[in-house]
Formats: sequence, structure tokens, C-alpha cells
Amino acid sequence: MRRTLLLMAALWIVPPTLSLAGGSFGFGENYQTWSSDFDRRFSGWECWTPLSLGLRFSPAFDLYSRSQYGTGQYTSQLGALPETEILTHFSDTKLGGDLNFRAFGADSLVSLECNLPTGDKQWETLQVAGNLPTDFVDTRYEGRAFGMSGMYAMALPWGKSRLGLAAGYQVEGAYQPDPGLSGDLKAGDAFFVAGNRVHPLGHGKNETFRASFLVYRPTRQDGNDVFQLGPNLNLSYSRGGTKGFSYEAGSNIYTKARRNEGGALVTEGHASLGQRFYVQPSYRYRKMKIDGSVKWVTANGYPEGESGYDGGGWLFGISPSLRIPMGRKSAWVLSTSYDHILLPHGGVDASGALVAGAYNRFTFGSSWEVAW
Amino acid sequence: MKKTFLLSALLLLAGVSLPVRADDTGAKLGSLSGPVSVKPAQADWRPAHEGRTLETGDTVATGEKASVVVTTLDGSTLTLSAHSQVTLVAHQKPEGGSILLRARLVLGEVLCRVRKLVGTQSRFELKAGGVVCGVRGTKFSLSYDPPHDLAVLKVLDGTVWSDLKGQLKTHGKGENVEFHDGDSKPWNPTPPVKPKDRIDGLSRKTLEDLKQALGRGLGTDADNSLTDPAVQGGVRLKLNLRMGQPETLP
Repeated sequence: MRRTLLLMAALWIVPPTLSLAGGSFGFGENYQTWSSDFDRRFSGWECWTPLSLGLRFSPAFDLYSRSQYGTGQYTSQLGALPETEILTHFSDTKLGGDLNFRAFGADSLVSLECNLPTGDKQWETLQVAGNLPTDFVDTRYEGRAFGMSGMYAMALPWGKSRLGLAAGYQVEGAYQPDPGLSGDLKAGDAFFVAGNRVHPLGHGKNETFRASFLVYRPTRQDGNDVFQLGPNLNLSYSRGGTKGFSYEAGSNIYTKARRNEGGALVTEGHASLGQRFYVQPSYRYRKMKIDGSVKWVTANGYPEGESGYDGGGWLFGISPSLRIPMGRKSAWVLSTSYDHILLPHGGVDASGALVAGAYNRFTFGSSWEVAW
Repeated sequence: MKKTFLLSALLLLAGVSLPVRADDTGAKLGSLSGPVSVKPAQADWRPAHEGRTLETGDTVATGEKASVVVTTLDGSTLTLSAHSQVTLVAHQKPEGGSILLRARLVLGEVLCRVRKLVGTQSRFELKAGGVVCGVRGTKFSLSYDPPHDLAVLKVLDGTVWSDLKGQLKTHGKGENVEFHDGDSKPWNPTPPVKPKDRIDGLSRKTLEDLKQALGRGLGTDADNSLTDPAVQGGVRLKLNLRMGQPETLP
């Protein structure tokens, strides 16, 4: 813990001593709570204090850092009685930089980001049973090994539009997420390519088509390949701007993974991940913004009744927020949200049988942002 | 001639008594430098040439390292910087020395040198995003960045008025104002940018969008990997995997 605090202090103190052209600072407090509505109890709450720092050394080069400190309580009832984990720690810290420049006649970006292991490496294992289904809500906490990702992107003129192309690679380090695990776990590295087309519609509005494709290397445990995610294709379209009505619609398409069978990775017989489709409308009027979300996760490829079957489900969410300017360069943002996750086959009754069920999640947040 | 007649008729019907001189031909392009194009209202882009006359609805655009001067009927000028677009919305020279010019800055920057306007019916108005700036004999520049809906007015001489959602304000010599998100405030210039570092607003948005899309994808897929039963020593994580056999409660 002491080493983590020293590392955090160095990260937050050293960069500002360099020559600055501008920057931003963010600080907030966020509380969220969720619970299931079926007989077996799955619930939790988290309280986060996020911190972010952005430093602009020139209009073309900036560095950023973000982390959070928090406490979470996760309750799960796998057996007859519920079990609860209470965890408190910093999460991992992201430290990154962006360099904009012109090359080969195109506007270009090189982006590098490091994951600094300031978090609790066992948190994600301990929370997992009481956590919200991650098919619907991404995990808020990250406590893993040192990792790094790099991306090169360029924006080419295409009539009035821009055509963006990007390629990159993410390296994951090895760590021990569970004291009972023999040897370290190393999540698979990822190679990604992406493209988008941003077309201006006037009055500050744009429409954007985007596609990304990710391919993974195997996840290794104690030096052996245990799992490999299948290639993943993401497609989306968004339309809107800084005010009025905006929306994004998209899908995440997952192919079959590969699993270790008899010492070798073999493509699974049934796809373990369902496909995901979503629509996210939002409306901004002056200082007020309302975000909505509808997400559908299809059943996976396993036949109903088999142990690997996942029936998918729906998420319906709404999140109003209010941005209150505090002088010319700072703002106070208040936000809240409600999510209802409906699982046709994801609940569990008192006897342990699968039934229809739902999760309800509420969040309340307040943050302060200042730029200079 | 027919077009001029129709325009006059429309203006008269609308209650605006601005008799139009039949010999006026329109604004002219001059001092072309670099690639400059014109798009008539109902046609495609085509290269512009020195002395070309602009008609109502025409859009003139400049490319990289380009500039062009649009001279209006009364001798006022609009100088377009590189990567700029201006659409001529209305342009007439009625009798008595009056002038009417309405233009829309689609993107980029334009420097306006406006001759002293004669007559109460004279208008010289430039619109960018949600703001309209107008003058009565002065020199000013207006720039517009569509992705950020940011318009910046710099008053170099005389007086300029602005109309933001019906709210009229007057800006004097030396005043620099930015208009964004329905508000106006004094403009705070960013440090000068070296040309080789200069990334236009739409490109910056395109690159930032790619970065965000990939960040979201990597985060989601890390969850997919870590919550799989094969990972983390075979911990069974999903409810439907955990609950293989019903238990007997005590």
C-alpha cells in the first residue's frame, strides 16, 4: 500500500513540473448500488473517488493520467447463505499520451497508454460472484498487471468527410488474481484495426460510421494456453453533436472461443458469448443532458438446459445529468442513473433452479472539472 | 434577368421595397491562390477562376494553403483563408447606394473589409453556426469550427453587432468574442500552432473517436476474458454455470 501511494504521488507531482501550455483536472464522488429481484441474493454497492489529470504541452502533444480510490461491497448467494466481500483500494492507474501530427498528407495520431499496477490484483476475482453481469455493465474496477497499448491512426480527407484508419496492439502482463491459482495468469494480447467515417452535418453535428476488429492471442496460466477469445467485430453508427438530440446504434459480434482440451486449444462446440445490440439516444438542452440506453444480448450458442447455456437478456437505462459552469473554465457535474437488467433465464430461485429475474442498479455522482 | 426579376418580386411581396439595379452582376472572385472551388446551388464542385461571378446560393471553398478574395457589388471584400467555405445567401445592390449581403460561413475563417454602408436599408451580415454578425462600415474577421460549433469574431475596426438567438450585442474595435453552445464570451486565444502540427477540428474528432471506440472494445473484451470459466483457475462465474444442480436447503 505504501509503495502504491508513493507511485501515485510521483505520477501526480512530476508531470506538472514540465513546461505546460494548458491542462485539466477532474475530481469526483460516485456511489452506485444494485440488487437482484430473485430468491437468491446478489447485490452490492461501490463508492468511488475518481481523479484525472490532463496536461497539454503543446496543441499537438498531451499527457493524461486517471485513477480512482474506492470501496465496494459484493454479496452473492451461491449456496444456502449469502457471502459478502468488502474491498477498499486504489484501482490501476492509466498513464497515456497523444501526439498529433501530419504525415503522408494526413492528420495523424500516435497514442500510447500504460496500465500501472496500483490496484488490488485480487479484487476482480473476489467481486465476480456479486458483480453485475458484465455482458450488460462493464466492470468499474481494474486491478491487473503492467500493460501497454499503442495505436497509430490517420484521418484522410474524403470530400467534406474524414476517413479514419487505425491499427494497434495491446500487451497484457502476467499476475496472480487468486491466491489459490497455481502460477500467474496472463490475459491474451490483442491486435486491433479500426476505421471510421465522420461527416459534418452543419450546426456542430456529425454522423459517424465506425467498425473495429479485434483478434486475441491465448490467455496463459502457469505458462499453458487455457483460453482464447474468438475474433470480435464491432459496428456502430452515431449522429448528433454538442446540443439537441443525438444517438448511437451498434452491435458487438463475437465468434467462438478456443478452450484447452487435452493440452491443446480447440474451438468450442457452442459459442459461449451471445451477440450484443444497443441503441443509446441522448438529448442535451443547455446545461441538462439525458442519456438513454437499450441493450439486447442474445442467448449464446449452447442448447437450453445445458450447463453452459446463457439466455441473454435486456438492459434499459436512463441517466440525467446537469453541468453547472463555475466560472469560465470549470464546471460542477451532477449525475444519476437507473438501469434495469432483465434476464429471461438468469435468475435463481431458492432451490437453485434457473428462473426469470432482474437486476436494478442506481448511481449518484458529483464531479468537479477545471481546465487552465 | 429573369432571376433578378423573380427576386425583386419576392422582396416586394415580402414588404421590402428594395428596387434592384438591372446591371448588377454579383460578387466576383479575385486574388486566387491555391486550389479554390465553387459549388452552385444545384450543381457539383468545379474549379474557380479569376473574375468568376458568384450567384445567390453559390458556395466558394478554399483548399490547403489557398485563399481567395470575394468582392461585393459595393467594393467590400471577404478574404477566405485556407480550408474555408462561404455560401452567398443573398446579394443585391438596390438604388441609392444601399447594399444587401447575407453570407454563411460553413467552416474556416474569413476576413471582412466592409465599406461604409449607405442608407438605412443596407445590410452586411455573416452567419456562422447559430450566430449572425453584422456591420455598418468596418473591418472584422469571423471563423467557424463546425465539429465544435465554435465561432470566433475579431473586430479590427469600427463596430460589429451580433445576433445570438435574438439577443443583439454590439462589439467595438479590438473586441474578440467566441460563440459556443448558445453563449458568448470573450475569446481566449490558444498559443500559436506550427503549421506542421495543425490538425483541423474534424480530423481531431475522427482520431479521438477511433481512440474511444478501441478503448471501449478492449475494456469490454477484458471482462469477457476474465469472467470466462476457463480463466482464473476454473472459477465458475456465471450464474447459470454456477447453478448446475439444484441444492437441498436445510
